[in-house]
Amino acid sequence: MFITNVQSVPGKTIVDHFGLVSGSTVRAKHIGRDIMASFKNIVGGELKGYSELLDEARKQATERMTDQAKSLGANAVINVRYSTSSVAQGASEIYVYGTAVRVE
Amino acid sequence: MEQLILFVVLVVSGYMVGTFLEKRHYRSIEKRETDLIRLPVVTLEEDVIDETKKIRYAVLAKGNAVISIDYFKRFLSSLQNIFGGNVTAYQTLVDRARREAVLRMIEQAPPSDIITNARIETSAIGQSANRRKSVGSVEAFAYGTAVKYKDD
Amino acid sequence: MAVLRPLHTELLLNIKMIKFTPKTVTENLNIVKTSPLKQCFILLAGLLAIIFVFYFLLGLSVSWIAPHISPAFEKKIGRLFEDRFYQNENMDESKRLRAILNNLLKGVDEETKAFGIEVRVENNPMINAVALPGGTIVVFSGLLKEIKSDNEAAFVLAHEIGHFKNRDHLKGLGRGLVLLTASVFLTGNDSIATNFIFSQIGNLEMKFSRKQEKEADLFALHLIYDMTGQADGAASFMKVIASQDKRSNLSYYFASHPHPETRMEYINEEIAGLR
Repeated sequence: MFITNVQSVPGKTIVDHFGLVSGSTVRAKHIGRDIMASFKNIVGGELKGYSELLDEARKQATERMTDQAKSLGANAVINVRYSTSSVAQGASEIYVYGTAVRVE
Repeated sequence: MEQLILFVVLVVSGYMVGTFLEKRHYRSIEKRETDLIRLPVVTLEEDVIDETKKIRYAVLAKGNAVISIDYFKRFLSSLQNIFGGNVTAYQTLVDRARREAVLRMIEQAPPSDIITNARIETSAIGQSANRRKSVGSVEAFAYGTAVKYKDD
Repeated sequence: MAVLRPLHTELLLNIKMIKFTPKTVTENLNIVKTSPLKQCFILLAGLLAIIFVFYFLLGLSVSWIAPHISPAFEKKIGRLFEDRFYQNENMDESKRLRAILNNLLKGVDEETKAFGIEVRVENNPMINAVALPGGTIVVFSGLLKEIKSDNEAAFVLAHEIGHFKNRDHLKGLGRGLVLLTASVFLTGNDSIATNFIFSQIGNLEMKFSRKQEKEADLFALHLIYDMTGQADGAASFMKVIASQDKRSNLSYYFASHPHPETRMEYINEEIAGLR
């Protein structure tokens, strides 16, 4: 499965496209991470736990998107876009969308 | 009284540790940026790929960083909020997050010759970690298409 | 879904590439170089100046208005508090204190008498007494459990009469109202700085309140001394309060009343002066 955020897969030729595919996930931070984060909020700096959490969430969302693309018979998703929003206290939504295509 | 002491301790330790961590982070960012200077990261998607060469692979490169502000700067920002004007307290927060995210995007991708169509997005995360309703931590997320040529 | 442009053919048609020259940005223009510490000090100083001006104007306006409020209007204000304080009157104790109060009122000037001061005892474990606008002194039964003699009770009542005479209850109420309005107006944003300001104003308020308490103490002392020729009620009352109170000196810096030790000191000094 090729994933790019340009309008093609460089080095390949698009032969067919299947329209929009998307994946999303909402993740809440668990309490342990939140407590560490509030300590870190005093001195500033990176919140490693949150970085990892959002990273995992993006992986999952991307997986959902590619699964959807596979079911359509595509072997690549191009022009992919990510967006993040805080939907509730302590929870973030990751949304990823792109165009499912078949390349050769 | 106890509250005031706690507050002063938090502000002072936030300032000292926060400034130290920030300086260290900037040194690391600057060093890595100079190391990676040969790899172009562009927001263009056409006319930047060398069409004369064959492409070995093109993959999505991603990198993210969540950075939080220290207590002193948060206090400073709430003061600046009262008087208005340039909220200088937040400028390094978002700058660090974005530059770190771009660096991670490059570092976490497989070795490549160019990253095209780079996009950076920033979002305020988690209100629960920063109980007052102000921005306390931001996430920057950078992504683009990493292209590697066949060497011949 | 829109039809995709046939990108592959387009790319084949114009094969060109922009040259890349690696360069670093030496100066970060996204960050304005300022000293955060200096800025913090300037802003804090500005903020404190505003607080002091605000507090000064507040004190001035309230002290100016308070003596001009008529007793009739005061009674109306007092009725607002009835629900909160009038719950469970202790009739026997009320009667006992009323006798002491009437005795005390013989010694005060006509102006103070005009407030129509009354007393009532409420069944409540709190060790406290309050002077409500409108001339009612509410004494909680918790306080009466601690004080033994009528002399001590007389001192408590005389202290509250002192508050009425100095119009402290109205001043406090006025300041409270203005503070409340200001905080509702400002705390729209629940920020660290706003909370900080109000804790500071609160401290100033407490200092003002301690000054009022001292004046009321001294008034009570003189009133009782003038009438009975002795003042042991005051000293023994302070001893009771001191034994009840185990807070540290530090927390008294922020408390509404002076430290019992301090109160005892100036009362003893005053007694020595009388003799």
